[in-house]
Amino acid sequence: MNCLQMRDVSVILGGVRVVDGVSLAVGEGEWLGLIGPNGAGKTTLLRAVTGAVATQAGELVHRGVDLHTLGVRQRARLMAVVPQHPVVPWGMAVADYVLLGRTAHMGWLSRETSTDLDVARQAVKDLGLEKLSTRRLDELSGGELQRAVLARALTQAAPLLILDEPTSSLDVGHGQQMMEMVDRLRREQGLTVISALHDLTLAAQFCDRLVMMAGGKAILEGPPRAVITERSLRDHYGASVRVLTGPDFGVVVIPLRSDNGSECRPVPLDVETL
Amino acid sequence: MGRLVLGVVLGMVILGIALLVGPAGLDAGGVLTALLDRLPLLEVETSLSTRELTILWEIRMPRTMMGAAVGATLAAAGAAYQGVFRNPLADPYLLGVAAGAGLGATLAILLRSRGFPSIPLAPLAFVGAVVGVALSYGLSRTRGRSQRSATTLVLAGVAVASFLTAVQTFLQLTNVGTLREVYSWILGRLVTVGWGDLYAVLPYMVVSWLVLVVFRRSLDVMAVGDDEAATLGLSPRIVRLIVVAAATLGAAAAVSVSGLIAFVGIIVPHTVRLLAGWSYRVIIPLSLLMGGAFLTAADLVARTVVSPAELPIGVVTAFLGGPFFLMVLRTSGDLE
Repeated sequence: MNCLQMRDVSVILGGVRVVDGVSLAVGEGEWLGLIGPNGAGKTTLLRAVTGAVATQAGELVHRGVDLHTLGVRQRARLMAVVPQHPVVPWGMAVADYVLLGRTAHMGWLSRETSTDLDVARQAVKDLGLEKLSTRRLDELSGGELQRAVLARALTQAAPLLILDEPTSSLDVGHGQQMMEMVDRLRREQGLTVISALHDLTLAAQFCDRLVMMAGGKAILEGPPRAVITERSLRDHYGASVRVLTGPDFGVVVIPLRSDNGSECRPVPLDVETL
Repeated sequence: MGRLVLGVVLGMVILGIALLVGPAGLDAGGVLTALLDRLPLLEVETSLSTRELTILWEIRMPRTMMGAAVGATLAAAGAAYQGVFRNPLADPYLLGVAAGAGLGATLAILLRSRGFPSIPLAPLAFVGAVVGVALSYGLSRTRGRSQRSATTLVLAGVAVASFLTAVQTFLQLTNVGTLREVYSWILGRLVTVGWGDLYAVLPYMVVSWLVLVVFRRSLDVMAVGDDEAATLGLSPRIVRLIVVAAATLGAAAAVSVSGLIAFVGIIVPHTVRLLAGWSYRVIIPLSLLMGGAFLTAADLVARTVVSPAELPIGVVTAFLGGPFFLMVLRTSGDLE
């Protein structure tokens, strides 16, 4: 069953068609990865889904409900967002930050109920933040901060989790841990995940399905091995790469130097596509 | 909670001193018994004479209460502005409150000198302040809803304030006879305050306090920025509109009777922040308390140091507040 349906979605920003007629379906419990070169429109497409930018045309339907008809509160109960560059408020403690995720479940005048506190405490525990819960957000490392943001998103208790480049500021180890954490949580809690990813190897390892975007359009769609190919990366990223596949590591993308560096062999290029 | 209690106690002590000190010295025991006597169900004999009672109830009490109310309002409004604009330099005068009130007051003083002695100053200053902010708000949204960010609003406020100040300065300079009176209003004063003045502005201030206290959690959510606040389920534009409206209403009412008292709206919230942390759940109530206490203390200094003359209270707030804030800043770490 489809959880989220995008039909012919277009977004125009500053006169430029940044997202151009994208149609996608995301299944219930699926992890869909958006890949594509810088400026392909991945982030803007996610922002259209979260309502941060207005769509020029097209439909966004979640379980039969048109997203345009929802207010911010209803939307926040439906989808939780982990932004690429979260704003770090001065002085705020991790536990208080996580608790902000309950905003959409609270009345304008009310305080947090014991349920709200329990949900937040569980999210802190799920992400291994117990020892950091009283620490100030502005004193955390990049990996710890990313976990705190994810904990806040989980606290929203929304069925749809949207991640914009969750590993972009993390080293290889923390990036991997982040992806494993998301994978475990979505299985435990039955979440549907949509994420923009720039690390193609991680994208291939964790996502059920990938969509490659370029120039605002969804160019390729399918299982990771069908989307991440030497040809698609050359055509749409302008990259010289070797793509290796194997049963134990999935897909590995190796960038190659094109100027005949000491250890690299030159890549045979297809003249017709240049 | 302990800090709240401390704030209340400190406020009470300062209010008490403010009631006791003045050109006519009042006996502390007499004032205490007179206050107790006013409480329902209590009958206490006071040692104050009728004349002293009049000084206490008709002069000192309304002035002290007005000082506390104005200080509380300006401090809480400043904290609220800093919250919705996520800008530590935002103050209650940010969007044209001061410039609008200044123009309104100048007009009133001018018209009075031109044969309309019954023109009331405070209502005109109030209207000027509200019009100033309404202009800033209205002009910042003309490019369409999605374009109206916090920055656009602040820039529109700067432009509107400059324009209104230019008009005000022009009027002031072409009528030099009223220069002194206008200038004294701008520096702020609580001189002519009686119960009537207080009753006229208190409703606006109380509404402002209540709204800001109710929205204190929303201000915490706003700390993560407009985009993230929206994904958390809060409409940043609606929160900003309501909070700005409430803070403006309070600040306009305050300056209409007190003049442009500088500094309280920036210094008090930041002192509270340095001492009690980041959360607006604490900052708003403590700013109300500390703002009230601070301005009462400043007024006490204003009317005693050069007695029987008085210093403009705006001079005292900056003179005392500046060094005090620097001291807190140096001992409490940074705000970044």
